[in-house]
Amino acid sequence: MDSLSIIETHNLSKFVQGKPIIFRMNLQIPAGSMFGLLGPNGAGKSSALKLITGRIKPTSGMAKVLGFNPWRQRKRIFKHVGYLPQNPTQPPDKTVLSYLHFMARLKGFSRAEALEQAREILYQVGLGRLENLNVMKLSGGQKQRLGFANALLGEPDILILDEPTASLDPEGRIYVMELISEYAKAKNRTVVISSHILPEIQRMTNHIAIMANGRVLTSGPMWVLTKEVYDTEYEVQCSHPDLMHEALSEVGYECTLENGIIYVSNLTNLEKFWTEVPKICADNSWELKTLRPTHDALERVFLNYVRNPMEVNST
Amino acid sequence: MLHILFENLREIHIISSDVFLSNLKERKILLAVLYYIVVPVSNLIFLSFIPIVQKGTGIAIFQAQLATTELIKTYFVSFFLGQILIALLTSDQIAGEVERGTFTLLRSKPLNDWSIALGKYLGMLYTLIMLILPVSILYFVSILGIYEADWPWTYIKSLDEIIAACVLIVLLLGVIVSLSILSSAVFNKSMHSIISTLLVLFVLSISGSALFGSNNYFSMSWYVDAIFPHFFYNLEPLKDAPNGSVLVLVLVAANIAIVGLSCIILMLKEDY
Repeated sequence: MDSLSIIETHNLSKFVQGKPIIFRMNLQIPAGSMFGLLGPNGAGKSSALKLITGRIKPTSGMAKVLGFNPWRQRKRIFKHVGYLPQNPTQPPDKTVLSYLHFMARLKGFSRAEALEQAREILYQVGLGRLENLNVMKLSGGQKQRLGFANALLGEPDILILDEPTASLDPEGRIYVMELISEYAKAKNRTVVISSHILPEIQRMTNHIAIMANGRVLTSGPMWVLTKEVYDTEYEVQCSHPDLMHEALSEVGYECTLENGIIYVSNLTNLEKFWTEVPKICADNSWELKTLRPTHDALERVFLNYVRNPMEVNST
Repeated sequence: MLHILFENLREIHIISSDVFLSNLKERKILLAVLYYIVVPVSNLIFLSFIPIVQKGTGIAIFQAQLATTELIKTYFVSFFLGQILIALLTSDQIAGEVERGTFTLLRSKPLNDWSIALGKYLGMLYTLIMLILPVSILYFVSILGIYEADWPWTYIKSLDEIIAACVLIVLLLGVIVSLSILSSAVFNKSMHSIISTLLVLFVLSISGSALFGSNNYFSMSWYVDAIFPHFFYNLEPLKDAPNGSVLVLVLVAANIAIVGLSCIILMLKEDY
């Protein structure tokens, strides 16, 4: 195992009824990184996390978390891992506090410590005032926050979060994303997040793996994966879109105008484009409001790999 | 070594306490309270209304033994409400958690899978012992009173019989609970688990003795009939019945084997 990798898989596969749900997955997740597992729905992200957390038994290959085999040594792993499954469900007969207190006890805390820890984390995730409410009465977003609170118990070295913002409203989504980022930075912990929402992954993580059809298509540090991305489609917004559209067409760019936004495609010389557009605006005294790629770098990488699947496994 | 043992016992204790406390909040438990308490109480009320011809220590002991044996048979041997309620209460302990999705979060804590199975088993056993044992003891003692046994000597002398009855109740209860936990570990849906437990209990209660004859280790009725006379020293044991302690050992072994199997199944269980 790489000395810097806190989680590592080598040719890890899982077959269900003869079909591969994960096929030869090779991952190296560095200690202290914010690692995003990105892929469309059904790509195998949750299954990959289930294998890493020992919820399912691999058919072949090897997985190591902190040097332990997740399937055989789950207990050891979960002393250092906080896990949030997709759509976490809490027992219906408990209050918010009693549930978290029970989970904290299972994490190894004494009664008093567990109570203190539970209250502190509930406050952190914004559920402090709901501690006496039955978990059944929580909204979907609040349940997700409670699941997140459960994952934070004991300040784990590794946080594994399966679609952590899936059922949250926009406000809750931002809140949880900030919470995750703060936790990882303040405590220098490793966070593994699966999501199909690109901006979220882009905002929170510094390492990514892109998955599709149970395979890892590529993985590595975000800057390495996106540095070679060459944008061929741009959108331009300025104070006179009609005139700008005409001007760009005259220069020879392929562009369309939709709702005041000019979409320029099939760009071959970006340097020239970046010089010409501001110049046209300056010459005509138009205000240039936006000049940016239609797809951002990560989106481009993602679409490239998912639309043209080819196993790369850069790690 | 001791540290690991303590850690495992702690895990089991936390889970069993949680099961016990959660059971007290369950509505299903009210049904069980009603049945396990109402049956002996109504028997006692009925007994207090019928004229008693013979009274005294000997008759009182005989009647108390007979009535308690019948009560235990009703609860644990006959395929009736007693067994069915235990199956209903216990069979969703693990399967229900899997079905609701709470099992995943339980398993995301540093726990052994066998601690979960053992904790669930003990938690259910505590609940049912709390429901059944005090009532059964009071039932035995009340009958001694109704038939006017000598106070306090007969009561003190009956202690060994009461303890033996308690041991038997706990072991029989343990077998039914462990069977329910086993099917709960096998299946992922409560309904499947409940139905399979009821089927097994039906086979043990009725078909067991019908297929192999009444005197065999598959017949729970035989356990009660054969073991009680040994402990209740005033009665003759059944013909060919083995030593009572052998039967106790068989029941203990059955409990350990079934719970052990549940632990193994849970350790191999994948959580999709």
